[in-house]
Amino acid sequence: MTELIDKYLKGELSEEERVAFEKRVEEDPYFRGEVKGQIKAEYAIRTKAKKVKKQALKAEYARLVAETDELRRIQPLYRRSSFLIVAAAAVVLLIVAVRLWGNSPKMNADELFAAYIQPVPLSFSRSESDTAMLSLATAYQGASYAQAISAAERLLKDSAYASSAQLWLSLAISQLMTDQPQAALRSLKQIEPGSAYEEQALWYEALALLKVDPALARGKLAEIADSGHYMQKKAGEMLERMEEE
Amino acid sequence: MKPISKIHSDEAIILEIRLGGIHGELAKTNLFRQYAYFVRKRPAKYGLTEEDALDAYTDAYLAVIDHIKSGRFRGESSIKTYLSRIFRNKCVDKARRNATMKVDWVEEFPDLRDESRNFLQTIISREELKGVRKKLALLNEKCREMLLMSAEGYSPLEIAQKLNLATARSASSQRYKCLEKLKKMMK
Repeated sequence: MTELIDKYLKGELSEEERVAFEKRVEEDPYFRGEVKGQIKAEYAIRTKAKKVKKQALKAEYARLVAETDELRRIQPLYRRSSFLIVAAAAVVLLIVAVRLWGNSPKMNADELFAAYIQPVPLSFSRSESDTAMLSLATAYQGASYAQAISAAERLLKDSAYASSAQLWLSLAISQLMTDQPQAALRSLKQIEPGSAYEEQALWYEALALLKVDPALARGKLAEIADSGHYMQKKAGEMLERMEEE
Repeated sequence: MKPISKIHSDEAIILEIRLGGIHGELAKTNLFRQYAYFVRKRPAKYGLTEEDALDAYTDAYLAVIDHIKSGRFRGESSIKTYLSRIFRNKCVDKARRNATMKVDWVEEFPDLRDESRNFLQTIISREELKGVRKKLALLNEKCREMLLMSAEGYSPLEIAQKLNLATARSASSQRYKCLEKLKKMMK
């Protein structure tokens, strides 16, 4: 009987079965009691589950707001949205543009790396039971990259995670942030073409190459600048600023 | 809050959510974060606070997850457009609720057919459902966890894996047993 009522509540009965079900509810007081009891039980479970889920989502939103505010605080001037800052930046840029007319400032590979490296915000599962993932999330999001490296390496030894593009990406970025470009390149190679993180992998590969082989970095940046990559504009900007070899 | 640069394609998100597991959870969190800026860009005409809009956004997000899992979302529009449309409707509902303070209990049963909705409202009133949630505390922890996981949309297979049960079938049959227990407590 529980299964039948369950199917009714999930809209899984045929039209004929539904009509017969409702007729039985009207005519049979015992069956009506069963249906009412099950609706109360389902209602209790569904509203409780929804409440728990919504609390978790609201906490996630609060974390996101905090992270965004933090990012905004450390973002370069030109990316801040406040009108006054944008206006001030525009004035400064105008002055700089006039002074450096036709002579854009050049940077060497290390300077370019320092100017453009920024870890992409990644979100990880924060399930209390998944302690390994939780410690990676805490370390990565708290910019403790050495700890993030050991947490990611530990997780990647587990066959369940060994092909996780997100984990390889977080490992590579953490390696770049701790000045290990060769190791980062090896980690990025583990991200399969066609993965959801393919574009990020290409971008960080170009940044890692700046430290290892600027000529190859130039090729990668040109590849990004010529495609519909999400960092297309930045890559073009970097190529313009890159010193001639 | 600005939109986060898109790191997952719609196809990848849908696939991962349907496959479930740890990657499914990550995809769901990413999806939630991806469009959370809707809350700050809420339609002004409904006069909702940020808290109300967040409530509407979480409702819309949970509905989208449900529709992706059940196949009701068929990819005819992008996830962003789909979510945005549901979010707008939820904002309207929220504004109406703020005005009338009435919530229809059958809303918790979105799979019910329209005819059944009207029928059920004649046999059970909103008042009769007051306080029923407290009775969940009387259930043993395993039963409570199983029923909550099922209500959160976990498949019998996922429940079996999480609760160390042999098969999806045994998860389903235990769920019915737990539901029976709770039903008796409600009488």
